Amino acid sequence: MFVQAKNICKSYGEKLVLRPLTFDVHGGEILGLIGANGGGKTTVLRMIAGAVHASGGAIRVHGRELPVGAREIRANIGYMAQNLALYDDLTVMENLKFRASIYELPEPKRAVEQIVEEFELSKYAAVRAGKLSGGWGRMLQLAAAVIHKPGLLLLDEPTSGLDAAARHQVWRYIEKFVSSDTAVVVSTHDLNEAMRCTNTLFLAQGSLLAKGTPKDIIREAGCAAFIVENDNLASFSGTVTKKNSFYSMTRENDVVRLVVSMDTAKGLRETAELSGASIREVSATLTDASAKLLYRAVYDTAKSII
Amino acid sequence: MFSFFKHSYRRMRAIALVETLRLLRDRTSFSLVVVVPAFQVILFGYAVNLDPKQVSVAVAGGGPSAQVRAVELIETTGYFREIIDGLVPGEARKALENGRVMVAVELPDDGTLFDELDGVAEENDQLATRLYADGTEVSSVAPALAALENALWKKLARQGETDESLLARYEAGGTTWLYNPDKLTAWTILPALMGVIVMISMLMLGALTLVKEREQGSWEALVVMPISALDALVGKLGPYLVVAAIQVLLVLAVSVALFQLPTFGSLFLFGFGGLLLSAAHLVLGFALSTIVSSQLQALQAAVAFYLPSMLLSGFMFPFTGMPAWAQTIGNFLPLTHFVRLSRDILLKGAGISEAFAHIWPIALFMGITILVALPLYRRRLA
Repeated sequence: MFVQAKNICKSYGEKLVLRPLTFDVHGGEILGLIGANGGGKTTVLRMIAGAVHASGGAIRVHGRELPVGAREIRANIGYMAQNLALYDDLTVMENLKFRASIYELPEPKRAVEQIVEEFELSKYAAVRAGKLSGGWGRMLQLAAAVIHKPGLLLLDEPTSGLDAAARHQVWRYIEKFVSSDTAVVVSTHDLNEAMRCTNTLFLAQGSLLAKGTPKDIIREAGCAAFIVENDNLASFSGTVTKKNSFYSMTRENDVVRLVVSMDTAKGLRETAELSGASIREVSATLTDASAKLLYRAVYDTAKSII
Repeated sequence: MFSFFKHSYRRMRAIALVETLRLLRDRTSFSLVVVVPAFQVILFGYAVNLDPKQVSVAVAGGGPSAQVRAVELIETTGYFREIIDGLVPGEARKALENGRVMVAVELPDDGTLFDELDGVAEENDQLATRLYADGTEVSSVAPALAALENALWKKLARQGETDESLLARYEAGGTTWLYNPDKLTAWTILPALMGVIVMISMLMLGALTLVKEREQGSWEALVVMPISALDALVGKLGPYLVVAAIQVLLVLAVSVALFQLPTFGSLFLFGFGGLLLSAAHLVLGFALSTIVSSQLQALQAAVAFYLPSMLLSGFMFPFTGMPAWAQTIGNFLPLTHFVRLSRDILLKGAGISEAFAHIWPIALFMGITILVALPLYRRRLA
């Protein structure tokens, strides 16, 4: 087992940023940390890396307990921060050589050459990290995170700010990296990307809302998604808002996508038929499930306050 | 035109408002802006004294009666704190050379024992009172000597005699300024200035190390690498010691070339002291860097340390002129010991045993600072 976290939580003073959370990461797994901003995704990643100490609970990485074995654990971890955590006044090569030295690689020069080739960074070798475009900066960061061939790769929003091609490239690497001897924990906002994870933890405001494979989460969320077409979408949207409860309503070109609970699906069909709109049910996505989970979380919070 | 100024004024006011809010919300910076000047005012007001009255003196030679009269005269000035008397001829000067006193009074012993002195004295000087002063501490000693001379002339004027009194022969012997015969200010300032230069630059460089990493974002990667606190401390600060060595060599070369600064002692020993001082301030800066959260705060914290250091070290103002509490604080500061070390080695030609007396306090300061810096770094990591 790569990571074994039992009831880990984190608070700063009286502010609780992560409620007790239990999860495991096994070899060959891509664990996705998903959810809205402030959910606790980065905190979980930093706790696994030993950069943030848990306020409670226990966490073992590579069989060693944190924070005692932090240095040994870090030697076998690759971490990619959300921001460009490189020396921006050093060149691509200098940054990679630094990492190779820190991880005491037996053949640092060869390791650097290999990683430069693997990430197609050759033409930027002499360019300062701060001068790279967003996409190449991310690729360099990823290269620096895996130069020592870590068993566990921790990625904090690795594709944020990247275009579709660069995102695809990053995910292609992540999938290539994973084998029975390695594992990845990745945080992401992008729920389409999260579908590529083998397992997920859905976090919101420091609480775990759901866990499982992306398909499990969609299924367990228990929501239905509909596409509605109507000549007067504005009028139809107004009617739905008045008559039906829904988790999300998004307009996509000439259609409206509605996410509702299974119970209210029938009522929505009736509203659509009365309005003369064409309605068809589509497969719910992780984004749809997320809408329901977040809606429930807000509802439950409001209910507990009242 | 009016419209232009009106809009420009609005923009300026908005920028000023934002700057004010940011300053007020940066509590550390704001408190340093207030606390540092207040601290400086107190230091300047209470600790600095350009008319030091705690000079140490040794009196040797002469008969018991002459010694008593000499000590009485010295006491009337009010400028001398420690008076060592009852010494045989030549011992007062030795006490000065050993660093025990800053002024030595050698009274004439009717010519009988002056043969044991260094042979500089001429035959006709043997009946004169001779004064020796520490030329490395001109600003500390000069006011006291002036007061002594003034007291002597007043006494002679009262007695109405000029040729019978032993003390009257003081004028014939005159004052010999050891180590700095021409009382050159440059010779007392420059050795210590090397310490001040490396102190300021090393403190600032050290204080900026980690905070720069945090502001640039590379800190986040650093904290998840298998790096120990000691790795970070030595790795981060090591290169700056080379910078410090270059600074010391540069100032020394310019001082020797332009001001003929003597280098009587071991330059290796002097260099070692300079590097130790640099390392002590780098580590202190590193410790500050773990506490502060911005480069501005780091620089302010550095200033808050080095300004009192300059005031209380004896570099700018006479150490002996400061009150006891200020001297106690001064004795904890590494610069104070480097000021003494540099003058002792370069001007007095001090050897390793004399230098060690100034080196160990700097090493102790560095050791304590390392013990503080490492846990602070570890705490910052978490």
